[in-house]
Amino acid sequence: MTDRTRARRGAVALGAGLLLGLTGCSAQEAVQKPVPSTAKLPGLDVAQRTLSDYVGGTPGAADKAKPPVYIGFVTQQGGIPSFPEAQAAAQAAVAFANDKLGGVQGRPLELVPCVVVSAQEEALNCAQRMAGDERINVVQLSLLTVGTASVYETLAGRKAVVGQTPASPTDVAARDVYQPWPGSYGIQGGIAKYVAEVLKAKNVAVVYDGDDPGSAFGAKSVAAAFGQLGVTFKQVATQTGSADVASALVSAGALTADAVVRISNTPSCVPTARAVQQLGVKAPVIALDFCTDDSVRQANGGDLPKWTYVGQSRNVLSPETDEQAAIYRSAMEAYAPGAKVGGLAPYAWDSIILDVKMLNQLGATPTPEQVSGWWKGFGGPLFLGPEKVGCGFLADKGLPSLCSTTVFLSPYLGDGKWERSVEVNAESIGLAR
Amino acid sequence: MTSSLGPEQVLAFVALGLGYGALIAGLATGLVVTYRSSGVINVAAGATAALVAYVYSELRTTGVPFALVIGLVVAAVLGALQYLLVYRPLAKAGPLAKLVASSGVLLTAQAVIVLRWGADPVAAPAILPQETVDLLGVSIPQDRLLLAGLVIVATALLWALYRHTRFGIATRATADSAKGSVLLGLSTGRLEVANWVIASVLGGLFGMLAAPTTQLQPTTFTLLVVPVLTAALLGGFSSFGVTVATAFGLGVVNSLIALLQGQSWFPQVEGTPLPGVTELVPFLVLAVTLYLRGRALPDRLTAVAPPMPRAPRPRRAGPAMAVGAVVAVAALAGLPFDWRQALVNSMLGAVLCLSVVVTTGFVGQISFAQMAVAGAAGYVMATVGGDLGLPFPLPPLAGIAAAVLTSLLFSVPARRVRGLQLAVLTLAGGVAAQRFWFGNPQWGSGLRPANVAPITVFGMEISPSRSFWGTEPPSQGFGLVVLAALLGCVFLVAWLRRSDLGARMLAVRSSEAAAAATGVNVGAVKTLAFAIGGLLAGVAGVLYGYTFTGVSADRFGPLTSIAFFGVAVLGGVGTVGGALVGGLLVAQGLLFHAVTTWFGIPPDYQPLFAGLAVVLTVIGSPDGVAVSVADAARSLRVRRLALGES
Amino acid sequence: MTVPLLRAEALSLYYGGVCALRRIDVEIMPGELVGVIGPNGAGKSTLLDAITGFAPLTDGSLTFEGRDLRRHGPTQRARMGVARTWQTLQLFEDLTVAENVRTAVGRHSVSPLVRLGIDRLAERMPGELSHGQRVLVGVARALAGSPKLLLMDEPAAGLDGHERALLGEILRDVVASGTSVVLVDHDMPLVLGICDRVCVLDFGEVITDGPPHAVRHDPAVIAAYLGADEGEDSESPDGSGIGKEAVR
Repeated sequence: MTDRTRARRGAVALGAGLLLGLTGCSAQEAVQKPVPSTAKLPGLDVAQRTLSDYVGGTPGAADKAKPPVYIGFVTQQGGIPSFPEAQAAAQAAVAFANDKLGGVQGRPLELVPCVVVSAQEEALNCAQRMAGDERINVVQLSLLTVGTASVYETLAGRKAVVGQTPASPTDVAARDVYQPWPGSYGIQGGIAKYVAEVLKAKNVAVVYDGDDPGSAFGAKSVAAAFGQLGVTFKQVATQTGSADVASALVSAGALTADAVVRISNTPSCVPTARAVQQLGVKAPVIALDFCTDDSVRQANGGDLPKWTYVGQSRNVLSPETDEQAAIYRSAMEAYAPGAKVGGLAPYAWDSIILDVKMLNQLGATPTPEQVSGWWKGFGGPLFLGPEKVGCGFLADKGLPSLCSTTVFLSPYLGDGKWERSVEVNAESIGLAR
Repeated sequence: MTSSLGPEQVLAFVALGLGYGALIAGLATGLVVTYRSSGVINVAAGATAALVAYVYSELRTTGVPFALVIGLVVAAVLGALQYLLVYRPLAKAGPLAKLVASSGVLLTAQAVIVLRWGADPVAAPAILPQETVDLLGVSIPQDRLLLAGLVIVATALLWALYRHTRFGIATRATADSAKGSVLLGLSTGRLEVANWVIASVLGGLFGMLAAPTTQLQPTTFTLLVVPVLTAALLGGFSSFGVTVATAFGLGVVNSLIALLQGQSWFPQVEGTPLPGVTELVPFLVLAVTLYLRGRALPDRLTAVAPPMPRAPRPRRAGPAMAVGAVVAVAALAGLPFDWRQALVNSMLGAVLCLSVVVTTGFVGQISFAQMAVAGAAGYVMATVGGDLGLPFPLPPLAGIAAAVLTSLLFSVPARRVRGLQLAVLTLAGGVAAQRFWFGNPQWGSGLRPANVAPITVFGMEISPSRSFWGTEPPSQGFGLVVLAALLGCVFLVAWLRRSDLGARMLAVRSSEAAAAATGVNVGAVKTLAFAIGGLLAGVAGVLYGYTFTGVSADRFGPLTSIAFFGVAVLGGVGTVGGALVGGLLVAQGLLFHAVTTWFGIPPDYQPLFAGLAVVLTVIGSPDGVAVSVADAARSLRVRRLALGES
Repeated sequence: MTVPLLRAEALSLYYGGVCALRRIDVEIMPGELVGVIGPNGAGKSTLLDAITGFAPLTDGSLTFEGRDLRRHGPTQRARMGVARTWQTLQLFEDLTVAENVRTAVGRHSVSPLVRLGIDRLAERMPGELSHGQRVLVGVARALAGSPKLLLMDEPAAGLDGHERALLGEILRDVVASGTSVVLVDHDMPLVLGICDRVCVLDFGEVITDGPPHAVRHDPAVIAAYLGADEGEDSESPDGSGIGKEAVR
């Protein structure tokens, strides 16, 4: 080996080492700063009482001597998109349940996590792993943007699968798997109803991310919903994260509309905020709760845009206006202090609470049929969600796995103040076969 | 202001599109600079510009002074390092190796961004004034106009630099003839470093300036790779003026399509404007322009084809295939589930690599469209099986037929467009297919699940979760089906290489002119190669559909196509063995699984290691790993013989 | 009176304002070995490219066995029986010598490799061969399709004396077996030694066309060469170095 080659290889190794050091040093910095809340949160005893009633267990600690009840838990993080808050919140819920709610029928609950970074193959691997794990009877999914078809196929007949939020047409069409939260696929009717009946808008501009299937579906059903409600609208697509939102807003008529509806993922929020401000759009803007992320707050000069945000759950960023949200915050503060409370965290947390409720009724080793039967018969409430749900009520519209189309619209007033959410149940407005 | 189609509206939208166009122009100009000096098509340009923007953003938010200057220095260092560590060792390698190296840099840069700053969007502090200006009745943000102006100024300066200074003339001389320049006493190394620094600083500057117009997110700039390449390509990778004009054109087209979407006559699908038009229009313009500019045969003066990896004639494939089949079956029987799945993933990857071997390795057409062709097969199969409800084997046959037809579509421009131009064209085509077709609510998986019903033969299901052999997914029965398909494809490609058609394909690859002069119908040979490549990609696409119980559009995007092509080249595009090695190397394949399991590399670090591995491997084996291994084996044999004799 | 195999009338080729060929008339009869010589830039290679279809003619007519060649591309012309070799050889580097020959359409009763005495090289790669051997492979490949007319672009460049003599014999052999040959080259002794007829070009025009002994002493030809640039190929038609130093 010549000196030059040796030197070059040394430089490459040094470079690689630097890269690793650089990235390694801050991989831990994914923790987001929590939103400071001025309200006093209810104490853990209140949380324990309320949630014990809800899940139907005996308040108190689970018996560590008893064998644990294992639940498979599949989340997506480390790639694009990434939701590390789901696992953190779920683990917090497990700790709370084991400490205060008596676990599952007195037995401690334990999660068997599996992480999908970004590839279909990883989702398939997680499913195969769970299929072969004898300890697991129930697999709880968090939001997965890839590979769910192979997850359902692999686990069908082998393990009970409980959904969380649908992210693709495959999820909404899945048989015997229920999604408690409507996701992009069920919130449009609610938006349309709010715009038509609460804002009393006659003319709406809709801008959505055209390259994201969820947003495209949302746009289609919003269009249908507005049609049913007699609201005129115009819709224009942009690309995710594109800088060119201004053209789309103008083209959709945002400057003269009564309301602007923005259906997009987080990267599009700040460009939209800038465009709205620069164009001088006066109409109220309705955006998805993806835009309440801390990154949007930071990029927008330290405060979220004063829009109305659409969420599937109660507004956990505003515990002052919602009791159940406050209890959630209290539990998270105790068992995962400093962790992110928004994003997917409330859904993941509530999914675990729901699983505890379900297993308390069905026992620790339910069959897949028993689990799907339970969901079909479950009328609600979701602790952080609507009072009433009806899983499978949209089966004739080709969406058998959805349980509700209720959404919570929360107007933001600035400086951390929120108006109380408006709960809108859209039933099947805007959804057609 | 209404959004009707008056001339003021159109002009206003044109102005709005300038900011996006300016960013593309800044990156595309850098691309032209690096191509002219080193012959590298730097697909990583957007990613490295994004990295600089991220660094700048972090420096600003933590209050470090002179952040802009530090950002520019970082950009300069990045440019110099890329040249010194990656492209200088590859100076003598062919264009494929350089392309793969730049895709490795892309993966690495992207991985570093995600690891350091996460996947969530990050605030990008503004440098240019954000207030608006009233122009033609629309408020246009000032920073867009300033960016556009800056790009024009920068390009003009660059043009003057390359035309009138000694440095510029020396660079152009070196690009034309490295040997000649050395004789003239020019230090080619120093010139190239300088050029890379210029390109990188330009990209970094525009990255920092343009980042505030969009939130900084790992893929925002990287996905610009197709418009940036399109602009540089239409400028012939040499003219700054045409490149910048095209870049602005693309920005304006983007904006105008947004305007048109609001019109009632714009085509709609299920109530929403037709998706993918933004990607399809530039691709069509590019295809038509290149086709018209191209020539049916290269003329005598340009007849020297770029060096491609060797494609030696295989020896009798029979015994090797039999041994391989036995080993694979034993592996299916004995390995635990995750290794079995990794084996299946590798076999699928190998089939797709075989399609690259035929289109690129044998006939020399650099086509990035193989993944899109595979996707076409998957979607047609899902539609025929799902919507039309036809039974097995019609859906996969229909899928494969669709793949062949799609591949033949790509063969049309290949008759007149060559080398790296064809590479860029097929990449743009693949992206257009992904958005326009796969993302379409009706034909693709936009609004319906593109699910695939499992293979059912004589009433018996053969799928990864259940089949005649195996109860634990992935089932061994399904593994056998994949293995049988792979063996069939291996046999086809080995036979092809040994046949007269194969010889003609390699003749066309070596010298189209000489092939024509020997009576070979060059156009027909290229078409046949694309058809066979399409067949192989179709088989892969169909099998992917069965493996994952469905087809999803994100599998076929530009970054995946680039990464996959890189793996195929790393394995070796000249031989069947190279395709098998490519299969081993493919993401989620056997080697990947082995390394991550044995060395416990956490999942979020895997993309970083993959990117570094690509760069290091291509530097060590520019002709592909399979060829290096074969060479090493041969020299070992020779040495043993020599030792034996002495 | 035999019909010419190839007839070119008033061939003209302009590219970008430069006139490369100016009203060239030439006829090749069956069984002829015709040489084409001329100073650098005279248009010899361009004429060859025009006949084989690699350079588009601006004007003139070109027929082969009575058929209009201008309507056909290089592939068709090859299949009609017009073969060529290349100055840069353009061998198929990824194929063995035998595979190189096999790409030609059509089969020979006797393998061209055997005819040229290089059949022992059949399984070697072109990259491993000497320049002289590579030239022969190029010729074999051109002959593989049993062409009626073979056009050769400076095959003798880079060959040593022995190899040139061998090439000369091979070409006479080829012509004897029925294939006409057009030999474009700078090697005066070779061309004047083996050709039946020699055509001299200068500035894109034919200045003389006749048997070697006539061309050797034609004053117009001598003037053309004396007027040509000083350089390696600057020598008088008979190679004796009259008037100018032959720079090798």
